[in-house]
Amino acid sequence: MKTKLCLLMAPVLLAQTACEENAQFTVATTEQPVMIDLQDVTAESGVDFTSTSGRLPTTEILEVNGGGIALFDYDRDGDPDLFIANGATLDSPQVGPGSRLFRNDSGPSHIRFTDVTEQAGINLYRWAMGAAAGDYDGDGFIDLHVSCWGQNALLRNMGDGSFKEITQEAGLSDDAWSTSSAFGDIDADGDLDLYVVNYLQFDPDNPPEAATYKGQRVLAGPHGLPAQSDRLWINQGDGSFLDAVSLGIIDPVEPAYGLNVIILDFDADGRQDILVGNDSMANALYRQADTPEESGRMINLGHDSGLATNMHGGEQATMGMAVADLDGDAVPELFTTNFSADTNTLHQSMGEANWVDRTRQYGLGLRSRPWLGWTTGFMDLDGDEDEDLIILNGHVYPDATMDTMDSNYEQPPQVLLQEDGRFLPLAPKPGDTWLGQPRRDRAGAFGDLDGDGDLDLVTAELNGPVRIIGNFTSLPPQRQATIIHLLDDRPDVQNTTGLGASIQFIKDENKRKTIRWIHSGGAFQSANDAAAHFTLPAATEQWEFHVTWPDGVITRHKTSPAASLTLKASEAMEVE
Amino acid sequence: MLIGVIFLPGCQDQPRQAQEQPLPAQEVPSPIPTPPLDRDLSRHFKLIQNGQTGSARVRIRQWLDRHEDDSRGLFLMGLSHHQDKRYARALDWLQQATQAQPTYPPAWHFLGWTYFYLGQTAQSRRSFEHHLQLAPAEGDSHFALGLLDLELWRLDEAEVHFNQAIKLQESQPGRAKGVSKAMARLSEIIEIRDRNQERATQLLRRSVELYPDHYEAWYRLWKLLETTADESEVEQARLGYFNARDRVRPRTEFPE
Repeated sequence: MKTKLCLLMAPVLLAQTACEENAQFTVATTEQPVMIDLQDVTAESGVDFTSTSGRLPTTEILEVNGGGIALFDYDRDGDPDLFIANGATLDSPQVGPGSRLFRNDSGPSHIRFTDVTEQAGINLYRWAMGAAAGDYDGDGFIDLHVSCWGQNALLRNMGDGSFKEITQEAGLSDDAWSTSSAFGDIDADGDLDLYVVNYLQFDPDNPPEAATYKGQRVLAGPHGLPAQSDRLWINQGDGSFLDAVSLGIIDPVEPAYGLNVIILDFDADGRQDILVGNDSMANALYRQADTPEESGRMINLGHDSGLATNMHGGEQATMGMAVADLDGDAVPELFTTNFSADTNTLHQSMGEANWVDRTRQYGLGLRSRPWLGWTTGFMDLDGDEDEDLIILNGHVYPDATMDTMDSNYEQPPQVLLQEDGRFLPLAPKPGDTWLGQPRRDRAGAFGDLDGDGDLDLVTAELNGPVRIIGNFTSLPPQRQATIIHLLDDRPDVQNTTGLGASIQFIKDENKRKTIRWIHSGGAFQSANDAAAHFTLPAATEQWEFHVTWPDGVITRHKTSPAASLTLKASEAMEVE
Repeated sequence: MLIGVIFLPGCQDQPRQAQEQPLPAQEVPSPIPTPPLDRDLSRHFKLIQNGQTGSARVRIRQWLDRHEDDSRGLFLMGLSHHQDKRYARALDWLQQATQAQPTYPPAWHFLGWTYFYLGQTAQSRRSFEHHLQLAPAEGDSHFALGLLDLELWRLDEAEVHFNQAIKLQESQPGRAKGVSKAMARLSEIIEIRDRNQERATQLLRRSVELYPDHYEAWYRLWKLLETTADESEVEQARLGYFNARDRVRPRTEFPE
């Protein structure tokens, strides 16, 4: 049975801050009420899958994260398919029930998946955590990198519906505990390189002593356990990768408890940067060096970027990361989700590779203290042109209750609607089966599953179901939701899906712009479909977009309004 | 955390209660006296101060068996959980304390902080405002209201509260930390709203001078000086941050 969540956005403008402070679950508004309609359609989707990450109750840190999600169009039929990275158990950590691939068979009015794991030749039974998608070999078919506790896996998409593991042939030897990874063209040679985020050393046969948190005995880590170094792998263009340290592109990465990574041009200098989210340690922003003598090298800006900590120098947990241009300067703001008793954080770009913590300005601070956040994502849910937020939550300690830790183990997801630069929580209606329901959510990925132009969501609950959350929101007639994919079909370009590119919608003759980024990483241990989501004027003959490709080339595109678009580099009107 | 709002005669290193040094009458209304702790409760309070919160709770519970619904005992139970950063548990006791005696100021003050740390901003504001009605000279409640206004991005209102917090606490012994914290937050407003980096820097310098363990202020001073000062000053602030942070929050602890 379809479980339905219909959330009425009341036409009341919350102009007075006193109202906002009193409104734990008050809604924002638009001039015309919009019904936010998010439905758990798992039961009818064909995805009947319970993830494995140790057992409940969780006793060791290895069991905490759960497995990631990748939404990517492996069969090139225009819709995102679903890969689920699945774990194992402590008594058999090397061999678990296996990761799964589901083909998207959705139609205009329904979301439907078919399990194709066997026919795709995916035999991945190790303790898998994260998933990244990218066409590393430039054959037009998107490949997968799966981060694991132990040997990671590079799964090459053979183009015939099957995958082949080529980890060893590709030279990607790394048996650390990898949580996340991301593809991006770091050396600007047209193909996709790979950044792998590593966490810590954990031996299931010699688990660490329990720790204490708020007077409670809890599972150990990360503090007290040896951190591990991340790896940057440079694509050689022949199917193999080399360690970037050996190539002199990056210095050995300081060991850290890495959880997340995003690759995109953070500082708008036309070159790809790497942002690494570390657990309870300073985040790292690797930026292309400016000086001629260091040309081609990646330098960690550390605290100089402002992204390493919150505004008070606090090193945060940084599970989820999401980017959006909230202030209209075409440089990304960064939103991160963090541990309970801490706050989530919004870093605003100030230009010149510098960000400042403006969490409170956007209303995202104190009220997030009870939550422990994971995957998060920006999207314009209500069609009012500004970006809203979805956050998945759940605590790591099974004994967590409000009474013991001021935070419950199972926590509901949140939808925060932006109104006048402030994010306000959307109220769940009585009977909601998704928004109001406490769960052990971890990973999640966004993509347009049913081709209607808006973003749907796939969530993975720790040792629980993978859920398909359909977005059936009806925008006002003057607004059109659209999903835009890129196809870089220029010669010598292997990054065919344009990871690292940005798309600007040109609003009017004054060239006002709305920007989105196509990037790898960010969603916790997961890969969003590599697409941009806009809500645009429906009553317009043509939409105009400018695409800045990862190599800095800018192309201009004009299209008719549609729910789904693909902008091809070869079909651009002009090239700058 | 503010212990100074509790009246505790003879408690070394503890600031006197606010009403011992009232501000001029034209600035604040007359405060309501805080009932003093008796000898037993004073001992239990010292246990809380020393981090022996479990031992304190056993004794306070025994005391409450003999003094049912006494707001001071209920308050100290709440304070012990507050000291352990278990705010939901503290909340129940502090609510009981305010209900048992609605004019007992410390309970309202810590109820405000408890709501604050639970992220319940509206309830926190009401508690602090109530506390200020009972104890108008308590700067820490003004500091808290300033923080709550910052959350709403009401910078002008926050500035008023931080200035009031500084003014009230500067005139009281043992309140250097409180003054330091209010100055650091005030500097945020001066920097962001007024874009007055020089004044913001002055406030931060004074803040870390008054309370050298204030690593948040050190961090912001470091970041501010990077754009205005020479390398040695920047380095001094950078080291100040790392040293203070390591003193206050060892790397073995979770951020909160």
